[in-house]
Amino acid sequence: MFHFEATLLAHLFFGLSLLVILPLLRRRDLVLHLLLLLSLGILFYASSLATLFIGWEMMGWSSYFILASSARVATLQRYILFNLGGAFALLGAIALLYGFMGSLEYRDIDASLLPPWAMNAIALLLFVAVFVKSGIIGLHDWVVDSYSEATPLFSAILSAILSKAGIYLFIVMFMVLLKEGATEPLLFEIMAWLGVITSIVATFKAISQDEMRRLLAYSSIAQIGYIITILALMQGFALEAALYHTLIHTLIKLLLFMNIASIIAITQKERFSELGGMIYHAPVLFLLLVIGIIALAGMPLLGGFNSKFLIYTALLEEKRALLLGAVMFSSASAFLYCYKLVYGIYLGQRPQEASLHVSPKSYYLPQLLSAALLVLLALLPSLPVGYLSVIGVELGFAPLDDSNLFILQSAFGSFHGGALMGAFGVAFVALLGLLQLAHSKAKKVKDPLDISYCGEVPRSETNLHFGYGMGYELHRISFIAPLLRHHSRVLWDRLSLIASDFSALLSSLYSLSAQHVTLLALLLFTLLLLGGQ
Amino acid sequence: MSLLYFVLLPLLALFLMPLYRKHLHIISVMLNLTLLTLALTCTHTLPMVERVAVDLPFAITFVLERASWLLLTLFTLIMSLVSLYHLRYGNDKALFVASTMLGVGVSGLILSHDLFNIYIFFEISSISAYLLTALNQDVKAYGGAIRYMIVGAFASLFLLLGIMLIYLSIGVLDIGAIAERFGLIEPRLQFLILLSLFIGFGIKAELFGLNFWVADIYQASRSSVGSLFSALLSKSYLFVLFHLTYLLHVSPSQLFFLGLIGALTFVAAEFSAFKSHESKRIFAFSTLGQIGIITLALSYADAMLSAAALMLILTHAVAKTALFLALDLLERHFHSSHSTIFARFHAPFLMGIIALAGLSLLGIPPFAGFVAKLSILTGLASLEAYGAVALILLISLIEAAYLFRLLTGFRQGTGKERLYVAWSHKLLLGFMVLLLLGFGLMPEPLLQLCQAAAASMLGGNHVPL
Repeated sequence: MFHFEATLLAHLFFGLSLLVILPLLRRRDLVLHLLLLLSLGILFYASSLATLFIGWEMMGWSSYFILASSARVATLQRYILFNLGGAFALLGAIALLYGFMGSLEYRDIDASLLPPWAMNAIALLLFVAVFVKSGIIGLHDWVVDSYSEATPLFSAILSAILSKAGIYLFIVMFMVLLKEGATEPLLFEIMAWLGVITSIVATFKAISQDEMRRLLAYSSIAQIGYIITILALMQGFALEAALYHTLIHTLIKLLLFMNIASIIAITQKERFSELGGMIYHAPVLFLLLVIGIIALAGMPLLGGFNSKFLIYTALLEEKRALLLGAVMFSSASAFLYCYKLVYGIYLGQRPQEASLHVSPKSYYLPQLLSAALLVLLALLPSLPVGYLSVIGVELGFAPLDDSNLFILQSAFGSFHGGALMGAFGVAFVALLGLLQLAHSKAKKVKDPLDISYCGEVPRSETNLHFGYGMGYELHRISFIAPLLRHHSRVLWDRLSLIASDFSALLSSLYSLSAQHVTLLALLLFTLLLLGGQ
Repeated sequence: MSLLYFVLLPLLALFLMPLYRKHLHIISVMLNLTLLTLALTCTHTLPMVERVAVDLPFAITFVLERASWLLLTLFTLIMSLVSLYHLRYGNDKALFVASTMLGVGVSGLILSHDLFNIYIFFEISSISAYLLTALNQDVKAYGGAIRYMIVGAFASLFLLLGIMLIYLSIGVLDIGAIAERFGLIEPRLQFLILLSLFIGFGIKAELFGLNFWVADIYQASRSSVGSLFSALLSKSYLFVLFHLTYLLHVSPSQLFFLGLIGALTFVAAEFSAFKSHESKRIFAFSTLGQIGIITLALSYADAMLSAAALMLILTHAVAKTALFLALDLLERHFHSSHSTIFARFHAPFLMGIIALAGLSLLGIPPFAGFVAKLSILTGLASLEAYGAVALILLISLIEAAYLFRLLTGFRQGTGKERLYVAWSHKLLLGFMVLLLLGFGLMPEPLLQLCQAAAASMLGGNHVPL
């Protein structure tokens, strides 16, 4: 009855994971990576909740041990505790479902038998599992540190592949197994808003980061925020948009993280403030990154536009103007961090002391493939629609139109991929030509530090590169500054402190002398005797 | 085949010690493997009853049914594994005497069908435990042993009080006969008896309020001894406690109280471990935590939950034995069991064993510990005990925090010392982890055994004599 696992997502994740694994083949972590792949297989091909959970947990601990080779202890603690917290919430939901169904097999689950309170409790528990994995704001504390402290290659796996597990779980649970359940609509409403708030906050946090991978980690959180928002609509068309965006985001993040892995391999640097001018050294990488950020920004010309188009039209179709406005605001703000990414690394001033290495050739393969797919999807935007349609039909939604691969259909219109790409390409080339003509007399400045007319005389070590400082000004904007200042970490650290204090209190009991232990036993005996009688 | 072999063979081995005093480690392995084989051969002849005719009420009556068989097999297996582990370290007279006596004690405890013998084996296992604690023969070990002795004597006192009150009231000591006549005792006296038995067994079974001595004793003992304490000793007392609880048909409120104590044991132990940095202490707290969950599950007197609890006893025993034996290897090398030693060595196999056994202990798939935990959670959910489900899941996070903190050491630190692990030890530890993985992937046979055992345990399995 359920063949969802055989379709797009599983193939996509497997294909891409293998691709990212390729450069790793000689590493000692290979066994753990293979275990991680196996866990994804178990997750996608599960036919019972127990198997699903096995896949989910194996994914958690195998990725933990991979991460453990490079991350700090505190980061690892956060990673495993958040992930296990999510996993245990899932286990709680599974146990609750078992209490009513008496079975863990997918085929035996009939959500219409669940009383509303149980359905809502299960939904809340599943939300925790999905939200933790997706890094919804408040539960995202583990994401950024682990992405930035993982090995550069594993960051790509974390962002491109593992971050999608929450989306898969949501679809399997809410759109397949619990479809008939009487979940309170308000819960989905809250979920939609949490998604969009997450994307806005994460976008601004991304802009203010100095570390490349932290920027991309926040960007991942923001992009997955859109997917969560759109999934909360629980509509066939929205599902298509969410899955399409999942696909595009996987390609983009694979490209961008591998691109940054290459840059780290070349420069051994992680921060924008230590980078710049890489276009002269690695023009191919620059081009690949430009493809990635154009797609990330969701601009027409590359595949990123397709999914954004579907997301916007899905929100329009559901008449969710406020949500649409918020998503568009977040999406437009994302231009800023896309700009920072390309400027901070490739353009601007080049650090003087930089000694450069060679990037492993194997890092190019995932990037080239992702870039090629993004271009192909721009030309043939309906290419994945056939797969998405199969998924939609299996989940009980109407089939989608994919008769013409060049045209992407939505309820609010359609566009021809080739024509759009051509038009934008021509406009871009024309604009570039005009700029070139207008600045044909521009000369290369001999001394990049010759800017003393600004009133400041920079020294040779002064970093004049604009890219890295970008985002600092956000701290002065009244309605954004609090978002950047407040960290949910304070709450989690406080909780950890309370647990630690409680632990100290209890463990002092276990250091009592034998006399005190016997005295306490006697006291317990007396109390029970008196109380019991 | 006689059940008396499980007691007489080890005693015989002890009496004949002068004959082979230089080969005690080999004799220990042979003895334990023989007992394991004997236990396995009993599968098809259950239930078995063996009675040595001494004048009533002091007859020796042994009963082996599905539940006690399961534990007996587990105990002989663990004893065999531990003795195989020690094979490499040569002759150790004190270890041989103490561990063989412990084997006699725990086997006798679960086989005995009368309170008189239960008391005797209670004492035998206690004395051997004191000896095992003092094995290291240093100040810490002697201090620990004396502490243990004081607390143990206190427990014996209460147990004896309970037994005495029963005998004075109904004049029988056979468990079956007690089960039949217990209702005749005046309710207030009944309560006093139950309370005395609870305090006596509760101290030894390491339940909350009575278990504040445990961590120090584990810390004072050798790590390999910790495996015996954790896998055998506490479990045998817990088994007898619940065996009696079910047989004496205690009231629902008393069962609820036991469940509450189980929950408290679990919470207090896991929180205490969170702050600890001494690995033996951490493992001791983790044992207490598991005992808490087992007690909580058994307190529902439900077939499914009891089967799950038995499964947890089995998986926990194997995982803890693997962990304690691995820790023993480290302790012998570094002369310390502080958690920092985990970041000081490089030995991929040993690290893998510790990590995988740790995952099973935490109840993380695909290991057998997960099956046990899932069964407990689904069992609790089907009884609508959602509070207990939430508690187990929440507190398991604390457990995850300290266990993963320990495991993180493997991937941290530089300049690690390469640690040599003998092939015999690799085989032994590998076998244990394979057991955990095997029963995690194919849990059905083990689950069926546990279900049969639980049915036997709950079904008032007293055998009419």
